[in-house]
Formats: sequence, structure tokens, C-alpha cells
Amino acid sequence: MKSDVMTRTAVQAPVAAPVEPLVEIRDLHVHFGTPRRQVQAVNGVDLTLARGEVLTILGESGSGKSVTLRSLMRLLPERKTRLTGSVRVDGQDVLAMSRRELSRFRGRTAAMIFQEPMLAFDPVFSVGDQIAETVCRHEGVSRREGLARALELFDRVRIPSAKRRLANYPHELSGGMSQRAMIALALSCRPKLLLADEPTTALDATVQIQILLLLRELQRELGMSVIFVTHDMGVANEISDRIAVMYAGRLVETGAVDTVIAQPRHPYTLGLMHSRASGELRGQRLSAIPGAPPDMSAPPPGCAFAPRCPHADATCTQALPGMSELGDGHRAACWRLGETAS
Amino acid sequence: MSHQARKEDSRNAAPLVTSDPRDRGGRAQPLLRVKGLRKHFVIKRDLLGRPLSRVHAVDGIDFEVRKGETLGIVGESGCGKSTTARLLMHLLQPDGGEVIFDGDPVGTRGGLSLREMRRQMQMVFQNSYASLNPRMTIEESIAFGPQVHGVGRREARQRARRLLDQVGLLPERFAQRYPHELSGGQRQRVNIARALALEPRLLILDEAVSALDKSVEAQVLNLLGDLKQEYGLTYLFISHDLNVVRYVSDRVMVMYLGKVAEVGDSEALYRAPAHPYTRALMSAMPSLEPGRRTQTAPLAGDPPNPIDLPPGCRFCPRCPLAVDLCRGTEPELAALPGGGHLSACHRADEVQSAVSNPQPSVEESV
Repeated sequence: MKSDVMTRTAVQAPVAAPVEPLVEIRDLHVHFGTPRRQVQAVNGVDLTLARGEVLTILGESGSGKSVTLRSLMRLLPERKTRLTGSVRVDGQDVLAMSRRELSRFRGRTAAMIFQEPMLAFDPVFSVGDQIAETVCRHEGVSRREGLARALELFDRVRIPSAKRRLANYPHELSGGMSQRAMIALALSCRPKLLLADEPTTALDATVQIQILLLLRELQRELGMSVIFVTHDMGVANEISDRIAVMYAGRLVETGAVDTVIAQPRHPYTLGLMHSRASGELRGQRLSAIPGAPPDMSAPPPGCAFAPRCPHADATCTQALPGMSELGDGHRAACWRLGETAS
Repeated sequence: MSHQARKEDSRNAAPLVTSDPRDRGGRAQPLLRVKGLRKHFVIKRDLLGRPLSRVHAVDGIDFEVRKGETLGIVGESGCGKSTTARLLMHLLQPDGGEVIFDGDPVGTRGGLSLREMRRQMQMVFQNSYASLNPRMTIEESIAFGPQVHGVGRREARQRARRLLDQVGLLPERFAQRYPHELSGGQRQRVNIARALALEPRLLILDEAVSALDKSVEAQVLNLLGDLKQEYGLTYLFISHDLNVVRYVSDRVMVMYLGKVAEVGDSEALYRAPAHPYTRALMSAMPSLEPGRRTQTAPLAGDPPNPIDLPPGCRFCPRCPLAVDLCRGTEPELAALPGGGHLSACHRADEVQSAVSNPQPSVEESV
């Protein structure tokens, strides 16, 4: 029953992509097993990313957005994770890669930046050395050339007095500075795909906007594709061309950023938009989404959002809705789309 | 839900603030008045143990919290907003300054004792898990405070169950659970219930909703609104999220490097900020208007740390409007024409008229 829905959603032709898409995820399932229980973190995600495109995966904690991102580089603990489906990046099958191929692939084809830059660096080496080492390993150049590249990258990510900063240890950099250094590290081997896992969430507002603008600029200059994971609609609006909203391990809505933010159609996306606190709503109750996301070790049958959905009826709790085309690449997975049109 | 129904009742009932027997000075007297509050952390000492360098975490701030209002405090990391909360609760010992709770000085001879102060003032922290004892059921956690303050065991437990119901957690289902068995939103509800267990008059919410998912955040904000109505509470709401602060607060105070930069009525302050830092903070908010993205970052670099402060205005190294006066003299927090709106900026008038440097309007981005 599940599989026929999956094949229905799988026949989505990449829109406006004459060449092969850079990323192609088909029917991705990620389950984590512990002796006591199994968590079904991702349940059938189909996603394509064109070259030079910036896609944001928007979702709350536990929605599977970070897990999806990590499976693109196979960063999940191998022993405990069961990955099925197919993940192709730049024509290579990521799930079939050997250890060796994988270490060539990571950093060179795809690189990732994280929420906590401090944890991404080794505390006992200077940041310059770490970037130089990455370049040397991947491109077989000398350490000297590696350091020259590191300096060039530091200038590129606008770290002031770059030369002096290369000799700094991670703890000597401020939050915004270490995030810039991590971006430099990620870009050191000119990846085609940059994966960003909430890279601005831990930053102050005035620094966050600087990093977002920097990423936007670097993406344009280098023509990279970017997948950006966040829970913040504002951040998604600032950075992306396209948004994919995830809930309980599935995509529920995708489309161009303007469309999804201006005319969301999935009840979950609508709920998120309406529950935002703002000045105009002062003194009024917020229309919060009731309840909580489902326990992913026993997800409900049918639409996972149905228990919290104002439009849900009997169909919703029984069968899983497939993605419906709403025009211009805007799609939503809901049985009751007729009721959410504005 | 049951608490929803009760909320409707309480809106019809007379406001509780005036009838509170603990109310001493009447409505006009601020519930909390803070004068010259200061805390410096010494980070380096010389051989003789004399301080060499210090963090000016809170550097002499004055403000008041009026009865029944919500005062929002915003600012970036290192601005001293959380230190202020901790100083008010005496979780940290202030180096100087005065805290007056409803007319009584706190912690001085003849004033309000710390114990009595904590009965009237409670706090909810950001980390919902770390602030609960993992080895106590949530019922025990909530009942603990009242028991310490002399309420009998049975009565304290009854109160805990009543509060659980009030914050939207069914007592039959949740009372016997341990913190790890709850979700983040549920735990934060427990923390709110615990803070209310002593029937305080002032609740300090230090980034209390910041760690929650957006859909859960809205639920907790609604709950806080209901509880405020029902118990006639006063809130001190600390957050870095300007949208949320604007939604909950009657007045807003903006802090920068241990000082108050600006304070005023929420709408007035958001409509016409009178400090360049406030203006920068607002234009740094990600835009939510499709097709209209932020083009330039309002400030460069990170917020500096409050160790070596520049002479004069502490914002001037990052300020686009700084003139010589700003580098030489530190501006005092002064009232703007119209009253009620204070700004610590020599050029507040120019900032407010905002002709000198048009900025992407915040109004349009929410």
C-alpha cells in the first residue's frame, strides 16, 4: 500500500533543468535501530536539486530535515542506521560508495557546515592548518600552497586581518568569525554542493544576517548548489530559491520560496505561518497548532499531520496523501487541498 | 480545553492585581524598581590579587517594571540581559545598585528578605531539562517550593496537580512522570507551573520559549497570556527574538554591552526606534516578505565583548552615525519628547526622524 503511493510521488520531472540535476533523492528511508525500538526518521523523501539552486528544507525538530541532509554525505552512524532508496549527487550513487570513494566525495563534491562551528574544528590545531590540511589531502598540493589557499579563502569570507587569523585556534575566534572560518573550510576544495545545517541558528541577529548575505554572495560567485536546513521561515526567505517543508519524516510541501511563503497550501505550512508571533497580533491569542509531532517510533497511519490538522477527516487518518501538483512546481501532499486554497 | 474555558471566566472577572492583599503601594507604584544595578566579573588578577581586567556584564542600569505589565528585554549575547535576571533573583550577588520590590528594598536590613522576595518573584529558564531535577517526578518538583515555604505535603501536592491542569498537562497522566519522559514544550509547561507554585507576583522569563519549536512556542505564549490574566501577573520577558518580544510586551528595553540603550512603549519603540543599535537590530531581522530580501547587513562584525569598553558611547565603534561627541562623552539615558520613551544616544532625534539614513522598514517585513 505504501509503495504505490511512493511511486506516484516519484514521477516528478525536474522542472527547468535541462541538464541532469545535481542531487537526486528517490524514496529515501532512514530508520535508526536500537535493541528496544526503531525510529523511522525519514519515510520516503523524493527531492531534486538543480545546479546552482538554493533549496531550504524547513521543519521542526524531529521532522527528519537534518537526517535527510546528513544522508547526502552518509554522515549517520553506519551500524545503527538503515538507509534505503537512492541518493545520487553529481551522477554518483552515494549509498553505494566504498569508504575510499566516500572520503574523496566528502569535501570535494559536497561539503557541510554546521550549527556549532566550534565543534567542527579540532581545538588543538590552528584554523589555518586545518584548512591547509584539507586542501593538501584532497588536491595533493604542498602545505605552502594549502596555506595560500586558506588565506585566499579567509579573504573571501571577509575575515578581517586574514593572515593573522589563520594562526588562531578555534577558541580564539568569536561566534560569527568561527562560522566564517567553517564556511572557508567547507569551500576549500570548491565543492559543487554545500550542505548547511542550521548554520545561523546559534548566532546573534546582527551576525546571522551577515552570514546569510555572505552565503548568498558566495553561492552566486561560485555557482554552487546549496541545501540549507532551518526551522526559521525568515531565514528560508532570505536565502533560498525553493523551499521544501518537512513534517514527520516526509515532505509535505515544496515550491518556489515566494509561492510557499505567500500562498502555502499544506495545513502544516499554513499553521506555521499563522502561529508566528508578531506586533499586529498583540493582545490576541496566537492560532497555535495544537498537539505535538508524532512519536517517530510509531508514526500514525495515513497523514502524519492529521491528528493536529483542522481539516482532517476519515480519509486522512487512513491513507497517505501523495504529492499533488498545484502549478509552477508548487506541490503539496494533502487530501484536503480544496479547503486550503485562499 | 479546560484552561481555555477558565481563561474566558477570568477575563470577565475583576482584575486581580488591585485586590491582591500583598499589593502595598497601589497601582501607581512600580512593582520593581532597579537603580544602578551593577555586576562586573573579574577575569584576570595581578600577583596581589587585584583585578586587572573585568567583564562589565551589567554596568549600572536603571529601570522599572510596572504592575501588571510585560516588560521585554532584548539584546544580543553579552549585553547583560540574563545577568540582569540573575541579579534580580539574587542568583548572583550584585556589586552595586538597589532593587526595590513594591516599595521594599530587597536584601538589605529592614527590607524584604531574599526568601520573601523569591516568594514573590520567580524565574523560568531557557533550558527546560537542566532546570528540573531528573530524579524527581514533576509533581514532586512543583510541590517542592511550597513545601520549603511551609506548605504541608499533601496540600503542596494538590496545588501541583491543580497547576499541572492549568498549564495544560493532565495530572492523571503527567504527575508521576520524570522530566526525561516529557517533550521540550511539556517540560517548559512544568517549569512554568513550578514557578507559579509559590503564587509569585512577578515572573522572570529568561528566553523561556527560545528553545521551543515554532508551533509549540505559540502554544506556550498563549498559555503565558492566559496565566497572566488569571493571576494578575507581571512579566519580565527576556528574549533575543524581536517578533516575540513585540508580541508579548507592553514596554521594551534594549540592552547593549551592559547598559540600557533604549526603553519605551513597545509600539512606539518598534515604530520609531531612537537608538541606532535598536534600528540595526530591527533591520537585521530576516525579512518574511516574499521577493523582498535584506540587501545589506546593518552592522559589521560581532558584538564586542564587554571587557575593554571604549570611552564615550559603547556603541560608537559600530555606529554609522557616530560623531566626535559620541567618542568623548557617554550618553545618559534621557527622555524623548512625548515622555515614556528613553534613549541613551546623543543623536536620538536624528535617529528617530530617520531621514539621515533610510532603512528597510520593519513594518513591512513582518
